Amino acid sequence: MSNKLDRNEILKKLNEVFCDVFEDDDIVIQEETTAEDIEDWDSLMHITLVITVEGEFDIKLKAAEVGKLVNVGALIDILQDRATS
Amino acid sequence: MKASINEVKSKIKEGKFEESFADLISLVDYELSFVEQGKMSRLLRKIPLQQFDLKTLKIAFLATSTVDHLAEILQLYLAREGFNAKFYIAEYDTIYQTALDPDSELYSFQPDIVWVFTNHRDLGLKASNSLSKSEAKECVADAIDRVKSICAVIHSKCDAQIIINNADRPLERSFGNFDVRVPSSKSSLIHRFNLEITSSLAPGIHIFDFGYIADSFGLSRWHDEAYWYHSKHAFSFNAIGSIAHSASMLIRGIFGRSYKCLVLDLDNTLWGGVIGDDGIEGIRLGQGSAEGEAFQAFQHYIKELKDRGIILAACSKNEHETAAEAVQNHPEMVLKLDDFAVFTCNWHNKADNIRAIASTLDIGLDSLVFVDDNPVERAQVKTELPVVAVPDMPQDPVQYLRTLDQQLYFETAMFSEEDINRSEMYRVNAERKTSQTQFSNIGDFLRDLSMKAQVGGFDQINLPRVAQLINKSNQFHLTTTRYSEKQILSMISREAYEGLWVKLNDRFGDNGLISAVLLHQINDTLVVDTWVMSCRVLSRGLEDYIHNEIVKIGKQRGVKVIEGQYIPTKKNKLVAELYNKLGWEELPRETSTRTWQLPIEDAVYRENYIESIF
Repeated sequence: MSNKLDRNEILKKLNEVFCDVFEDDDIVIQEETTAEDIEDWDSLMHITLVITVEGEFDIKLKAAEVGKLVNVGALIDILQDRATS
Repeated sequence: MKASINEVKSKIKEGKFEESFADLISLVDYELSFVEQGKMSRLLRKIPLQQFDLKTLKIAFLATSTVDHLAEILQLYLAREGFNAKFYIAEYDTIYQTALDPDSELYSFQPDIVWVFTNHRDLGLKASNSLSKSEAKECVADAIDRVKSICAVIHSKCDAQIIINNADRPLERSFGNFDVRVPSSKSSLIHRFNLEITSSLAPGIHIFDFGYIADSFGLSRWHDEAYWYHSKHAFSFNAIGSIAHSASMLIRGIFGRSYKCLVLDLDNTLWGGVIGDDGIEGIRLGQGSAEGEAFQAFQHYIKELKDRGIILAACSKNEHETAAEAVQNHPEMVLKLDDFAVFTCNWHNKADNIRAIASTLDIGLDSLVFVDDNPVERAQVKTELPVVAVPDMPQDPVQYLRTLDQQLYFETAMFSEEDINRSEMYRVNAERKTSQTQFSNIGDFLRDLSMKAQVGGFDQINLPRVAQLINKSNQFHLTTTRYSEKQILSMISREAYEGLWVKLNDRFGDNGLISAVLLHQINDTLVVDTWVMSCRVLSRGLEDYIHNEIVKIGKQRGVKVIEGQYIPTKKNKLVAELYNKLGWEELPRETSTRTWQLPIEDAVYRENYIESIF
């Protein structure tokens, strides 16, 4: 349990990934942020986003998980559970 | 890499598009991860590509898997090769519906290329444990029929070039090693499919060796179940770069833009050591050392390239005699002097030498690849001649062969007799140029060549070469037309069109089929729709000879006027004044296109030194 990542730190790192993927340095994400909130976040960008996250955090999401990410918080849940610093 | 990408990003923000485009293109590398290449392709979309000299290319995907991410990255690779690609991606898994519907967006898009993008899952190659060979054969024949029938449907509705995939192998084998021995196992079916799909392909259909890409990437990395089941991605995201790289080079080949000539340094490129210092006994080549063997294998590979029609030139800082003697007499040397069309050894700078090589061979600088172990020489050539391809050679010579091969410079859409003899023809031609200087007037020289020409109409046998000439010629090409074999066939099947090819030989050797003319009669006018000629037979009076042939046809057809046009491009200045030289009369010009007419009653047969043979 001790090496679980802090949710805020994950959020901070994710924010960088979002800025990178969506090519917009002004994006600020929160746990509640969904695809509705970011203009270019369609199903194709979703996959690019997930793959970038997989690379950055060095984990692999299950196929079922990729489709079930309702918001940023859900992604943090998975990362907190599986990624180690 | 991240830093370089960010640098491009800030240059784009500052509006330095030309610089950022050049930087971005130089970073493209298929071994980068999808994440990096994705970033680069998104940056590319922020650069207004229309301001560069790129050829617009419309590619339609008909796919049984998700290819949107591939298209994004392919755009980057095609930009590197000089294309501004636009895509149409048919709804996922609607190949038949889209191809069959004449009103589908596929056809209104007017694609230059239709890529029928299949993978091993959807070809109907269903494994079974049947031991009967005939069942397996039938299964594969059906799968091939399906692919070919889609292509036929597409070709019946549009003139696009078609790319089809062969099959990648799945990772799993239910029989394990024994799989290859069961005729109806998936492995065996795919193997048979990949062999048989290559035979009797209609013109205008090209195979993308999808199976090879999967193998070279590594099957266990290639297959990514998560993204297959989640979103029908048929291969791992990190393989996209390899696919895009290979496809962009294939497409270059299809559109006649592949490289033609390999310019090679000698010392430490074709052998280990420096011939001027180490002498014939001292250089490392052949059996006896790891490096020597690798250099020899590299030479064998280059010889293979030469034998398939790639022109070789040497460009080395050496005393000519010393280097030539080593090449001719070293017992382990695979490449001999005769294998090089031009053998340039001197102490001038390499960019100047490469310019001279291109001019001796009469080929464009953009069809040259320069290989040199020395990063300083490479940098000089890269800076002075940015259109010459200069691969970054690795430190270790054992990697030279792989490095050169994997650049895919020499992709081609066809292979004919002409290719096999090309190298020899260029060598003889270079020799001929040297001999030209010995004559005081050009007439003496031309007479001494004892040229003999043969003329014929387009037929099945010559069609591939005619199409190749039309599609590859840039310099001696008056109207910039590009026609597939299929288009040419359909034109000459009509009374109004007439095709004409010319073969030429002389006392130095056979030049092969070196010119093609497509004439189109419109009422009383015979229009030269297309006139292409290989530049290696330039300035030998062949233009006059062909003028006479065109006049003959005009007279036979009873037309009143012969008409020719010149559409200027960056590359065809060579023929801007051709019709003036032939004595045709230029009409007042309204656009950049220039038009000449020759009333048939004023037409004269022009003097030349070429004898006709039949």
